[in-house]
Amino acid sequence: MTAADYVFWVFATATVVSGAVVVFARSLIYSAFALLFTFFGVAGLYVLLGADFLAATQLLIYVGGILVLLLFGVMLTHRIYDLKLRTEKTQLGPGLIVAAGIFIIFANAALITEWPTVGREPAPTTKEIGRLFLGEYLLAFEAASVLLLVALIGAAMIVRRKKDA
Amino acid sequence: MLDDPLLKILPFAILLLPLGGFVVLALFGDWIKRDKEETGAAWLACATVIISFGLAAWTTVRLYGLVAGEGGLRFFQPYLGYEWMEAGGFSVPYSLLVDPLSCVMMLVVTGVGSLIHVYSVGYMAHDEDRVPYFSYLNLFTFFMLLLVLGGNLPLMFVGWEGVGLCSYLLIGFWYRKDSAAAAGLKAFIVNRIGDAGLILGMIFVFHAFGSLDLVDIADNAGSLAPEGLWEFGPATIAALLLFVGATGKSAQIPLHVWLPDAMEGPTPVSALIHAATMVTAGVYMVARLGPLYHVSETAMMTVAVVGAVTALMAATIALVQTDIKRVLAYSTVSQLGYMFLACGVGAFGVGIFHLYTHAFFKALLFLGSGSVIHAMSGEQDMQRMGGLRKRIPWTFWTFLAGTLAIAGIPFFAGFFSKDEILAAALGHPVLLGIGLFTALLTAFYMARLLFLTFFGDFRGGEEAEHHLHESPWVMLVPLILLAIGSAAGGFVKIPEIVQPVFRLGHGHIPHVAWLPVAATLSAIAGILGAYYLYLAMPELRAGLASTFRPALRVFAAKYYWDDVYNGFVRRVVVRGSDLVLWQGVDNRVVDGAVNRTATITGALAEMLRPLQTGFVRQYALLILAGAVALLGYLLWP
Amino acid sequence: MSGELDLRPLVPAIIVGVTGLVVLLAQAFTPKDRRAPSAPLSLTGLLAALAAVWLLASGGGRGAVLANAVSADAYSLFFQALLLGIAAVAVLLSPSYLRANGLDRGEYYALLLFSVVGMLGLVSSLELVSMFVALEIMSIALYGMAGLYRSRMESQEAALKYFVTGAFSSAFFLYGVALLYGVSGSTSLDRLEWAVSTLTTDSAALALLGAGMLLVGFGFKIASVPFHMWAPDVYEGAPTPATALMSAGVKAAAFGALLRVFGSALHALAGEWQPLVASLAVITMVVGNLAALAQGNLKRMLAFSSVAHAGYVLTALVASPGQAGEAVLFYLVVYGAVNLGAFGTIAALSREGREPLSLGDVAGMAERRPALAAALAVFLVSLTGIPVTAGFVGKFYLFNAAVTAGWVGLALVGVLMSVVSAYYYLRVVVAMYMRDPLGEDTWARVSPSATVALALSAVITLVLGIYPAPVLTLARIAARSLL
Repeated sequence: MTAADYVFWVFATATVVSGAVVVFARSLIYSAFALLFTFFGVAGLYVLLGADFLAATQLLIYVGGILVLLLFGVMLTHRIYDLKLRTEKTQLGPGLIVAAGIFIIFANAALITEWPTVGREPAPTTKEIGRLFLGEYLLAFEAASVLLLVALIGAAMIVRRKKDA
Repeated sequence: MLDDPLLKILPFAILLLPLGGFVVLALFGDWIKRDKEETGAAWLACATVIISFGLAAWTTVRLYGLVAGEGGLRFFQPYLGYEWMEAGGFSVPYSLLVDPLSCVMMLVVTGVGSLIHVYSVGYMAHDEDRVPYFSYLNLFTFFMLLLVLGGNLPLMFVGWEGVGLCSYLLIGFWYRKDSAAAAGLKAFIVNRIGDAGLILGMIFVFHAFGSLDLVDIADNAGSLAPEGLWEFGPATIAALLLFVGATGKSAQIPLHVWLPDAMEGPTPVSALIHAATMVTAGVYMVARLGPLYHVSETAMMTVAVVGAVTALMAATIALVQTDIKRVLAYSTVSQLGYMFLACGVGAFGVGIFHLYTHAFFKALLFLGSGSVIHAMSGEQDMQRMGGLRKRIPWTFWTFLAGTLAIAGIPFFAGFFSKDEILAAALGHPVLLGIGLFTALLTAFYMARLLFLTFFGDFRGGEEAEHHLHESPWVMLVPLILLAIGSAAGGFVKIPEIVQPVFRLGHGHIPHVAWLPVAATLSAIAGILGAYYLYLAMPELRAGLASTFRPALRVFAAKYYWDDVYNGFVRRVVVRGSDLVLWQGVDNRVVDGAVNRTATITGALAEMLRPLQTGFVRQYALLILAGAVALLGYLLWP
Repeated sequence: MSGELDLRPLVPAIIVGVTGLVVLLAQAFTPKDRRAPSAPLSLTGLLAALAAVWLLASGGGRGAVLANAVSADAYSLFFQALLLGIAAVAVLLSPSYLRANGLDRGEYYALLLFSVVGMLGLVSSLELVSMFVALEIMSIALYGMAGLYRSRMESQEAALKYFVTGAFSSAFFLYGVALLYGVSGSTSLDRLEWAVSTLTTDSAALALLGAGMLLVGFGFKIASVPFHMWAPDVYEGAPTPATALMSAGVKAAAFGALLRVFGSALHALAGEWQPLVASLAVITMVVGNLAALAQGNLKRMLAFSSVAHAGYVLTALVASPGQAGEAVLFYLVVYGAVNLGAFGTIAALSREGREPLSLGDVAGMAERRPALAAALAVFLVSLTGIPVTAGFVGKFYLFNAAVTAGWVGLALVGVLMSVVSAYYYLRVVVAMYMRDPLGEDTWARVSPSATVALALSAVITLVLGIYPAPVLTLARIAARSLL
């Protein structure tokens, strides 16, 4: 195993373990903090894959933006803060079976596929991404703005006070 | 096929007249009803059908003016100029088919239909829903004509479904009676099962012939390789599936259960739809596709055996019925079995012949029973009748003609057609035996009906006796005309007229001299038996009843078909879906979720609650499980 | 990177999107005591977009533009016209419903229009990322619409369930896109088609995994079993005109994209996915129909019926793309008209939070509201698939396609399940025509715009049953442009 492999395992373990904590923690605040590590882990994996821009965005937006917002939300809403979540394991059996099934399928597919290796030095991806957004994926990029607008309207409508309805 | 401009138009006119009647009545019915002249709607409906009959007769005459083509067949295919459905190599045009077979059917439908429309004017005179009644009757006539005139299977199927719909509306006409509404629904559901067979059969026919046109099918069926017994080639599968449809519509085993219940409808409806026309649609279809059936020995054998067994079974059930209309209903099922028996042994023309004579005498018997019921102020139980001969003589004499015709007494219509059927079955001793025995049973139960109703002493009490009255002329004239048909209709050589349609050669049936004698003797034996048991020596009945008790119990229970079906539906279908889908998933999930969420109000925290109930998790788990199954299948080596 | 920007294929979607913004602004600038003209504006926008589709079609359509991301081929135009028509009818149904239930807000129409933008994009995308974004635009707008009914818990619950499970299924879709990108090195359907047809056994697993993931995503949107659980809850909880749009529009748009991806791009793998689609069709038809049989609530019954109909449509996908396309396209038109009508009838009678939902509610309707009862009867008969209505012609084509492809058993299940369905559809007809009414008639009077919508649906249902040839021809032309 090379050094990169070790780093991969560290990040992967961090991601999975903290992910499990997010799901199973009894308090929302623990979940939110665990999510921080999950995001970090994923960002690390992006770096390992040579996706520098993605890793940076992941940190900036998810850790710097979304997570902080989430924590503020949790802390300022005392009722949520106190809420003890019922993370009962009602469907643990079926859930495990299905998860095992998914794992077997993907592991199997990953093993039998002959992955092409691109013998390329790590290079900055920012420029390439910018080019794609304004070229090949222009439509998707622009349409995403409509998507955000729709999400905004929908959210605004759902949280509107009842008497306006 | 010559160019006859009139023949291009007439069939459409025949079709559209009753439809026009329906449209007028449906749109302006309220307005007509408000008018003081309340029979206006009724006579309008009658007029459309009577004119249709006139045009049908004219069409038939014109058709016989044409030069016969190959095989002596005269036919004409009027085309509206539009396609109904069209796709690569598949087209269903709006075209009709006028040939001897459709002419016979058309004349039966409009002829008997006219008489029953007229009869209804009197019978329904006091019903407040007359306008919808006559509009349904007109609509029925339209669909029935479409069924027999349609030039391809899908158009025939439109008529087929349409008559089913009207039948359903008319059975449930007195829907404030629960039994009537239930009977209507039962008829529709059972028929849907048959229709499923019909649709699939149609698809198979298309893949066997590349066409759904009736002429194409008849022309090309001869070139299919014959399929022996237990050989399931395309023709056999198509024919058997179509026959499932026929068993539904024509009330054959195992889908016969709806017809007796259909007697909940008004009696003229029973006469028109459940005796003379709609229920014979299955026979018409099998005969129409005769060339296709002829290819498959399995299909022919199935048709013959189902027909024979149904004929026998229904006749035995008819022996023990006490409701006058139910006797006639089982008799209809039995006679339809006869028709299928004829088709199954290859004598399609004879099947049509019996269809034609049956239309006369069964319509007559139903209308006659309607007249009896009318006289009895709605009573249908024969045990409360008796001695009506003197009180309603016109009804009695016409009813007698019908009874003799169905029993097969020589020179009445039924004699000829029944004799031809038995002659056609000569090569199949078992079928022939069943046929002869059924003839005896038929004579017996009809004579029983006649004796219980018209002879002996009146058993209905003084009050009812006081009300006894003969029906008005508007009801008696159709009875008299039908009685004439039942007496003399057998002299028209229908089998010879329609034979060219089947492309099976001349189709002469070898006759043997002893057969008519045997048939007549069995009819007389049946009548005599009924005479002794019900008039001369009724005390014998008790002894016989105890001897044959187990058999009679089976007859009275109608061979338990209904119980088995009800049990199946209740146990398996309803309870099964109840258990698994309603209580197991639906009720618990929905009610549970709703009840829980109902206690929650506002705010983000509470909005998370539905997530905590676990139901969304269940959904997600199910999606995931589905995905695993799906991907697992795809990647399975 | 140079070259002029040809936006013509996007014009219908742009018109609808801009109308959505105009509706929002109109709402914002209308004084509190006045009613914003949201519905007329929306309708105008949709009709203008329809006119744009017409112009594009009469100009012979457009090839792929924007780096092959979107095209206005006959297939897209057929679906766009259908979806715009469906949306227009849904808009016609809305104003009286919203007013009668105190929900009259401009955002509803804006969301409706944006969901249509998503649908339009979904059926015209030639590239998986654009397709995904379009799918999300449609879905997110619908999540909002489902939750519009603030005062009803069912509506809140519906929105949340729809959102959570929808996001879950979107993840599958996206994963599928990623895997297929791994196979072909591109998200364009053209490249994918080429890559799939030259697969080696080593990379086949990846392609199949991707295809399966996409199928899960689409299966959710078309409400195929076992991805259907959301449908009854959401259909029941959402405001009824929104339900009508969901059942008719979402299904059409999702099938449009599904057919494009599987019938053309992934057709080389047909041998692998067709048995899968066939089994999905079978369980969908069986579960949908049996569950509908057990429903006492009209909206839930129609929801399960909509599940069942997804199964019927799936049966045709085992046929060759051309034949499947023709049958599916025609059926979606029929299904759109019929479902708009059926849900529309319920919506038209709704008042103050109450809707006719039980058999008792519709009992004797033929006496009180003869025209409305006749219309609903036409819709239900068409759903059953009885001739002279469009449902028969449509089902005939679907099952015929399956039989032609040699899947006789599949057609058999379809026909038998149609027989089962007769029971629950006709139960309603029986209640309307053969029962005496219970209690007073307190339902809303049907507004003129709803009358137009229902009459239109009924006429289309009948005309397509009697003279379907023109639409069938269009469907055939559209399906051919897929090949």
